[in-house]
Amino acid sequence: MNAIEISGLKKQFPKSGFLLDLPRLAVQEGYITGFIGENGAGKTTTLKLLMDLLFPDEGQLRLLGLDAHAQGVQARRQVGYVGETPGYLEGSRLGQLVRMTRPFYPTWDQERFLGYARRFGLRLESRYRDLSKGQRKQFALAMALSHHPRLLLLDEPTANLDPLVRQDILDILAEELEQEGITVFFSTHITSDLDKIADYLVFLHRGRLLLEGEREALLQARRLVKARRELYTPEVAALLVEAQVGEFGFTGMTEHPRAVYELLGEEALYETPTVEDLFLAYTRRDREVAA
Amino acid sequence: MSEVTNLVRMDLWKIASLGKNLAVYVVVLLVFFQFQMGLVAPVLLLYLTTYILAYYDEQSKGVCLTGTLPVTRTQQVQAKYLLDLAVLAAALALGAAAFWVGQLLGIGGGQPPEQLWLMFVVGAVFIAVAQPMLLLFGPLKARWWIFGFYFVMFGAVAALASLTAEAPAWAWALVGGRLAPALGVALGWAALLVSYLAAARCYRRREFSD
Repeated sequence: MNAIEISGLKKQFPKSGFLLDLPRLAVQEGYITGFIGENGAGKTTTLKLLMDLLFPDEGQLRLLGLDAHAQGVQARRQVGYVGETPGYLEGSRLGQLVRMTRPFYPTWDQERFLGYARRFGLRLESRYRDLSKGQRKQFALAMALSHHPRLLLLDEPTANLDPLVRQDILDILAEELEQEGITVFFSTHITSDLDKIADYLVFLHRGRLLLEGEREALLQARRLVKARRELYTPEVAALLVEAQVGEFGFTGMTEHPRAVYELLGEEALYETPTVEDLFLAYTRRDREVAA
Repeated sequence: MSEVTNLVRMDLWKIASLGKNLAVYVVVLLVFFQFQMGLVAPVLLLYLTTYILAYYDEQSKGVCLTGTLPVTRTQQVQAKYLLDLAVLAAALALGAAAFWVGQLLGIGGGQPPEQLWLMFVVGAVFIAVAQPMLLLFGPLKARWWIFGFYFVMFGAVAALASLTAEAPAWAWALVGGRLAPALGVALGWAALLVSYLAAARCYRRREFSD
């Protein structure tokens, strides 16, 4: 079963003119899927639609086989959500926040929560407003994981965090996947995080799906080509998704590495791209097409 | 129903976490009782608990928490009205208690039992007007409507006080009798019901894009 299924989704914001248009998106259960896009691409909007904070103009969204709106309560019982803003009252103590929240989840595991609190060094008598940015994310993650969710939705979980805290969060996500078989769907614009842990990638740009698929397959099927400026011929350009052409050389992304090799041979360098390379190439191409 | 009580409990925890500020306001409120502003007391108590809670909640973007819990929008609205009714009941109990304490000590104040129905009506009307505004627009946008209601209510109470000073005996008999209180309480409940139904219908359609 797919953990998330989106079909025919359209959501327009008349004031800004932004249109989220996702004809089809499926997130496989039991994997970590990275949802990547630039600021304003529609990542948070998509997550809010899944959590029934926003309503689609058209289309259907399903979480774990349940309609996100009509069966939202049953769906959200099995979902752990960490938004950009968790919504905890600033003056509340962490222990109070736990007592407020856990009655809503029949599967709440207090021992599990205390384990995460110890791991993150969180004291239950601390006030939420006294936590650092990283600690707030850690607390929100601990809360989201403590009721044994089947699906974890995270909106920019590592944004504005130091590398140590970021790695800790990524490690926990990987552990959860391994031990609990949890599905993780997290939005980010920090591509290096996706290089580390994502199994699948979904690229969003200006409200539309650019690219999706298994991370390794996406990366291995493409190459970053670097060569001298004079080798950038129309034949080569036709084989590139997009290219950055400088005074002395060019760098381009290709979906046809063999064909490019037949043209350029050993005169060019062929590198396996990173997630960031993929994202930049396809968004630049989309901007050129739009222009 | 358990989700609704859990939501009410959550709001009570939030009120408790507002701590000292709210305690100061409650003390001030009790002082008001001593100066016979009992009719306004439920409104003040409701304002302090519901509006201030909503204000701090909005500052913390509390909807990002409650909106993502496994509860329906209708249950969220039910919880808000239940809490309001509980606070109103507490205001009535405080008013009655202040009256009896004042009688015992010979210092006056509080709300005589025969006027508690007026307190209920004033509080019910406040809830009926303010709660839908808070739910639909949030406290920052709703505050002008709520302030406006305050001015109208204070003005109406002052006008009523000056008019009733000259009122004929039959009018006092009506107020002191059973008809006016019964009608008043019935109208109060009717206002609450209409308000709840309208708030639930509209809140089910509200989107949270911020």
